[in-house]
Amino acid sequence: MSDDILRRALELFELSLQEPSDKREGFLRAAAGGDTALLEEALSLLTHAEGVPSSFVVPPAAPPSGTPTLCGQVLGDFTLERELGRGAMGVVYLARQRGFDRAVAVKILAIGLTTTSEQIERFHREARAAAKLDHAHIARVLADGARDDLHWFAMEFVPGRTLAEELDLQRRDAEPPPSPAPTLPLFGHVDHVTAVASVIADAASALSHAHERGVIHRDVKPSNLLLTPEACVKLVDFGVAHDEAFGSLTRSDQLVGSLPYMSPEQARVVQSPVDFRTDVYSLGVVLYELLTLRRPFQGATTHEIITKIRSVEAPPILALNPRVPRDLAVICEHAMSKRAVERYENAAALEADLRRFLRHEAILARPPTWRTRAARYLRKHRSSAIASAVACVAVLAGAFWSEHAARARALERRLAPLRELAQIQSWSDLPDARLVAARGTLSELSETGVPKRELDLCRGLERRMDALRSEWEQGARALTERGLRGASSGVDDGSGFKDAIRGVQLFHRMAVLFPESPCLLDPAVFQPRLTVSVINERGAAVTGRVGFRRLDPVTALAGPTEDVGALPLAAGSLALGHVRIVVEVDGYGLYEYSRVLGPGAEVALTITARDDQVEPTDMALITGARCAHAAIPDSPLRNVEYEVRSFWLDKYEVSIGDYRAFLDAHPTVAVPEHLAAIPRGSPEERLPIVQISWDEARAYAEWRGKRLPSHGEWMLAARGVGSGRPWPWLEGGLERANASGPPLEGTSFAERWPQFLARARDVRSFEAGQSPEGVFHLFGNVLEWTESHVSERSEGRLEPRYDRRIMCGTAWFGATMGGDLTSIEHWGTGPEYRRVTRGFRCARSATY
Amino acid sequence: MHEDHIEVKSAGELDDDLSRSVYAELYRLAQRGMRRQPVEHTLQPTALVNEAYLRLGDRLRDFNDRPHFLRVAARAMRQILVDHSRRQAAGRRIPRNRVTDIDPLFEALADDYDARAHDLIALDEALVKLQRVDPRLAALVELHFFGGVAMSECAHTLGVSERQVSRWWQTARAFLHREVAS
Repeated sequence: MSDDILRRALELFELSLQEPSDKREGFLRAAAGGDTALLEEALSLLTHAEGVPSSFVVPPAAPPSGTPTLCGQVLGDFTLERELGRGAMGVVYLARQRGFDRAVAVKILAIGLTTTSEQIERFHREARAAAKLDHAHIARVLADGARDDLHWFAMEFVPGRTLAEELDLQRRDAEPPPSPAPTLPLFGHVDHVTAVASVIADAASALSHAHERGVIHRDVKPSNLLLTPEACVKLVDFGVAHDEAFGSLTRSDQLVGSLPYMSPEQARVVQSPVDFRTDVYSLGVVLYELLTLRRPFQGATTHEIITKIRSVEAPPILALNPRVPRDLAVICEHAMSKRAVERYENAAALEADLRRFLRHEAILARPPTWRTRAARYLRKHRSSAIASAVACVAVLAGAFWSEHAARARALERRLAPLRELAQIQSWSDLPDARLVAARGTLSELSETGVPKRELDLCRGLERRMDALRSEWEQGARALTERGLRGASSGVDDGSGFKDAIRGVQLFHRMAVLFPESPCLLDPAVFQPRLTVSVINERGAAVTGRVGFRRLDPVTALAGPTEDVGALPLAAGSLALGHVRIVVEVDGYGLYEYSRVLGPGAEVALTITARDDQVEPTDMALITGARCAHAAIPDSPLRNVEYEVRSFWLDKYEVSIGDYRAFLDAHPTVAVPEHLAAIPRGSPEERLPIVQISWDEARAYAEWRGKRLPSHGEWMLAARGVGSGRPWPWLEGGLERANASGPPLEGTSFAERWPQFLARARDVRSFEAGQSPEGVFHLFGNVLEWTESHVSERSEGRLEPRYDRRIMCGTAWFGATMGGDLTSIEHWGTGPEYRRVTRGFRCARSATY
Repeated sequence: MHEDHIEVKSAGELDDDLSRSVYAELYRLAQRGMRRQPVEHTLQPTALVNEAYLRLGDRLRDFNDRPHFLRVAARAMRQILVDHSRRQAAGRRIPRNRVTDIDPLFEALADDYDARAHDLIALDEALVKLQRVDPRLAALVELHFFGGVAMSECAHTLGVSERQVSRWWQTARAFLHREVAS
């Protein structure tokens, strides 16, 4: 058959389309005009036109043209207006609700030949499950119905896009800016991670609401999280939800959920029980993807992905996006723990930790311990069978792409940071994230194959990494050993303390950068040891028990007491970091010692329990409470609800006379020069002791069987439970506090000391200004040391500075300078820091 | 009529710089897309072509002409998919090489296309025939089916009304269906 006949047949056929379908055959016969070859050809086209399957040569993106549109239909109160989208199970329409004239979304189940009654039941179950929920971050279900074969339900219309679409926009290159613009700040922008954390916290609160009502979502993924233009997130699609009241319709041998977001327990054919923590996991994966723009488990086949979900650790978030604060990475990794028992126990716990992160508070999740890390590391390297299979594919693919220009650019982008790093002489001061990222790139490159010409670069960097590891290890051991010799000797002079901290910090950096280091696995290096012996004043040994509380590094809030052993104690084990050792001596009460402990620290305490310390004297009992205070902006306790246990607080600031007694008992401690001028028994001895360092204050407190109060304790004593107690014990005004003096003049001690003598007052004065619990001079007179460390804002979060302590209260000119108890002065200073305005008082826990 | 300047080359003639860039970009995008959204994600020709346009459009002056770009991109998609099917049909007889190693990227999409075309290789042969007798229809099939270009934009690209393009489409489908079904 000639092309010419075909060409004419096509023309004729095309013309015939302008006729009604029943007239086309007649049209063709007439138009062919007796040319039988042409007519036959044209008629065969007509015959085939009638039998064309609806999907034939229709591109995959377009909806199947065979599905009739339902626009204009009325279902219940709802008039369908236009199609919003299609999913596996149905079509979603934008509709208008009569009477309310509001926009709603109506979801209609796509009924086909293969639709089962089970699917119909599941569809309505989604509606019923969601209808039980009423939450700001869950799209509300308004009505549910069926007409003939049309099953539908109506829900709140959420303008905007899905998180999946948002992720697609975020994945586009920043240049040119993606259009439409993403709703969340662009990936890499300073606000990106906090916006992400906030969205996920809201989603977690939605899940928590569902969980409380017995509904497990089971298909949490970006396309089921809608994001309004105002970045308000709404959870939708409880399609595979497991409602405890209705039971599950999903057969147990069926994999339910969307693969990349499926939890390890879902990804097993013989399934472990699926509970609330399944949703926690999936939301963790969404968080991971938002933070890194990558899915944690990727692979070429379903099998590969499932294998990874079950047994391979996701690449560390910090290696993919160094901008993510460590705490947020820890939260995400905690939510994604392989074992459900290691995750947050429910969505509420995940939300709470995210909110803590957003408020710059200490989070509860802890990074995996070095033991866990090591175990995981070994596990990872044992599963080398899978890894090598993956690597084979990757190497082959790599060979092709290395010649490809685009691939070369991508490689260059990964190599660029390595080249920069190679130019830098000393790595010790670089941010850890940068080194972690470089190490990640190096290990990825070694798996996928390093291009020949980059071998020198990579090998050189690996050698330097090894050198850095041994340098750090030696440094960390030396510093901690030197430092802790000082720190454990009772009164440390501060320099040892600093060394110890630097040692700890180095070990911490090693745990981040070289988690596989053998030295981290050596318990002798790490476990701080404690020896305690107690005698009474008559030299007799006494009984009792020893424990410690971990103090939060940022807030210094004390955790529960962990038992170490009974008295006398030889070589008990302590935790690393800031801890408060608690010794309860039978018949004598509590002795407490706050220490910052580095790896291998040895603390030896020799305590003389004194009869005059059995009962707290001149101390007020402050009843423990949950409290929140509007502290100054950088306080770690600002607007944070925190728990303080009951404690005793000195009613009076420690006086010069009190301190002199300590000096008398410790002939080796140098007497501050300024005390020499104050005669014994003079009224000046009743002034508060000032111009002493934090370490000297602590030494005094411990000699008295006490300790310094924490920032939170001091605030509770001064401010009561809420923030609404600015002056309750100062009714009548400022004359009840020694806080209205003239501002301090001069900069030298010589200039300031006379002002102190003239303006500071007897620690027992201003009786009318005592707090309801009977504590004097909480406002005014002198500032007071606490045992809490100062935190500094670093990249948007608070980090403890172990060499600085918070001071509370105000000096005698506090009110003159505009201070009040809603703006507690809050300072930190080094251990050698001494000022004429700085004094202290002591505290003691009420219970073990 | 506009068909005068619709010059259609056969699949073997994609040899100019523009085509090579588009071809490479589509491959790169597909690879990137699959790396980021593996397995359950089905590549969509519309998304690929539009993304390629966004990425290349500003860089190459040639592409400021979107209709021209779409033609080239649709042609490149066709070549990628059909080549894939051919290699699959040839099975293991073709030794593994660098090119076939990247094919899993397009496996799902090519399977989808196979299903929609009844038989992609037969369809390609029918398209070659159609190109000979009516290049406008062949161009439309390439644009809409392989390029995922919406019907309204096809009309714009080919310079005809939507009503006209719809009749072309029905004609082309009837012809192709007859060819692959026989």
